[in-house]
Amino acid sequence: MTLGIFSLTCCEGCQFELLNFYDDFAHVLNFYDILNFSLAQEENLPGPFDVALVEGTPETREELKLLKGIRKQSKILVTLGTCAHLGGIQAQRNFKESEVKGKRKVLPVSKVVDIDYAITGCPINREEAYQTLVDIYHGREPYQINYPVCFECRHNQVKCLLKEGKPCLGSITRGGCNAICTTNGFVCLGCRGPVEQTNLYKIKEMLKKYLTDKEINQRLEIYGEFVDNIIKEGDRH
Amino acid sequence: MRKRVPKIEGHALFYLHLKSGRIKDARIVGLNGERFTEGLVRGRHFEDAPVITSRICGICPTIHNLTSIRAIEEAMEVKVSPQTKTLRRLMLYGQLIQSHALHLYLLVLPDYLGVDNAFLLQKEHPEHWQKAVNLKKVGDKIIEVFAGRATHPISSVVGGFTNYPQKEKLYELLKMVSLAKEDALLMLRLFNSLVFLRLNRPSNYLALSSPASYEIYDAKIKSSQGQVFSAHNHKQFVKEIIRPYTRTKFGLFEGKEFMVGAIARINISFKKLEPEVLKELDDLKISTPLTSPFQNIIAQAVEVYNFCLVTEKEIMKLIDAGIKTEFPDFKTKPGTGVGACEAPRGTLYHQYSIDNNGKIIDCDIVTPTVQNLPSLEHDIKLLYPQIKDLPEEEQMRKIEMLVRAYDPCITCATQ
Repeated sequence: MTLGIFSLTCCEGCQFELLNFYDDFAHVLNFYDILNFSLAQEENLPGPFDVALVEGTPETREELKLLKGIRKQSKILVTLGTCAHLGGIQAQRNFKESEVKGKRKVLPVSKVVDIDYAITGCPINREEAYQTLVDIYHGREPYQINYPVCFECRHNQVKCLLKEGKPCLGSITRGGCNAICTTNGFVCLGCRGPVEQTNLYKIKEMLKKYLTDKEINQRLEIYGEFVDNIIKEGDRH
Repeated sequence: MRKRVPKIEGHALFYLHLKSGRIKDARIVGLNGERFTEGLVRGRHFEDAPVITSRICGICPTIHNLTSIRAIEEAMEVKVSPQTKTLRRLMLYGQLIQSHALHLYLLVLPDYLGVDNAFLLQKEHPEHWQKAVNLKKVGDKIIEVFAGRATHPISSVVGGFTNYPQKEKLYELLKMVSLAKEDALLMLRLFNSLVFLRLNRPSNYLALSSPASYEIYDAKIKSSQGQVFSAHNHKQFVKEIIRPYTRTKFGLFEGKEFMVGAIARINISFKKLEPEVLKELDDLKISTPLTSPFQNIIAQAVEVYNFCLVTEKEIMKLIDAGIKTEFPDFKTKPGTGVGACEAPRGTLYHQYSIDNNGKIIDCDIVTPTVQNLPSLEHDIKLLYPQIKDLPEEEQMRKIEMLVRAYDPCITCATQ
């Protein structure tokens, strides 16, 4: 099958994460021919692709055009990372009134074109990305985890940070990262987006003990449109 | 003549303005969109700054994380323990090793061996491929052991660390580093044997410099023309200007172009390299000053070898002394602070002003690529007469090679 890997505006950390242990990535190459990957190769083709991976958010006119072109050229479009999924750190400016006003809103990839799957996280969990690619190759539906980070945090036998008085978003965030932040003693900031059945009201109640309303909102906005992505009761099919 | 440059961090194209066979102007145009990182952190709590700024760059997140932490600590007058400083230095060594190894093998080497990309390198030159993998892995592993994750570190926060590695991890790491230093030595010899284009162009080189050691974390900034200044004065010397054709800024030192990065560090701190490295450089007949931008490639290879040796020694010391578990302990205080550290691509400055409640009022970031861009544009002009008789495709390839030698990071430069 053919693969295109594209980067819009972002830190490109997800691409590097894909390459992080070259050997594993080289294994994925047994399944795919890479036709476009401008980070790593000189000759890049415009398509068509069986699968396209897209990271980042479209910020410039050229990037919007590129993204729409990728959609036309690809059978399956998979977003890579938090920027493409929630808007990423740059999407904080969607919520700022004064600081960076006058600038266009940041749009996650799914608000511009239809997407087939999303690999989430800032940065992505590379194992999950490889698994998704292999699943697609074999015609399987990629498995998406639907339990909160808390589940994995408990599994790693980490003391609950929320109980220690640290405002952690692990309970409403989709797992699959193996609770890497909380295991390293740092609170979850929700980079993987909300898990289904998120009770936003309840978590806000709990965080009020440590933070002001403004701080709670800022925390939920750090990776972009977390709240917008919460699936409400009745929306699910 | 214009062409998009693949195989660099971020997206950029170069543009040459030619008039009757002579070069009039050369431009580097960044294509990444702006994210306005400096504006994003304003109004937020200082603890968010290291998290957000590390997302400026996917290849050098560690340095943004640490420089921002240092600046905030300066602003609030937070003192950290010697152990914290050691661990942070180790993170930086890991950062330099992984970034250089990735740049040298994945982005640079294919040009000189005449293959299209690094994946073909694996098929056609498996011996180089394996070394690349080993060195990249060891760089990532160092950061992972001390900060939890290589891309966007986790446990490194204002005041210290939130988590510490177990002793077994240190032994594992020591073993990896000891093996990698052999690879690093072979890599240095390999890159020294490559044939580069010739471009003799002495410049003013800027890097952190300390009398005692090859310092990249905490020192004054020195220029090869003799000026010395401390980080909080940087705005008097390094100024950012805007040019209408690109979203990236341009940095000038007292109005003139200059160079930062591995080549600058080697030129400034050559004598402070490890004795083993100096001996090897003597054998290879490499001496300072390095004056061609293409020698930045060799300088990076030298640094990888040097930092593998330093890391090995430091980890042995850590194992002997044992790691104490100490958690950040400080009071929020208003103030303004600047941090300057050596990123893989050169000196990085972060400046923050913080108010009584720990909110960031102001933020300013000067990245290394911004400081190198004027010099890069100038060098394209200097290189052109040498290559003007080649077919156009060849010319573009040579210019791309020059751009890659500078190791620009357009995502950082646009941020």
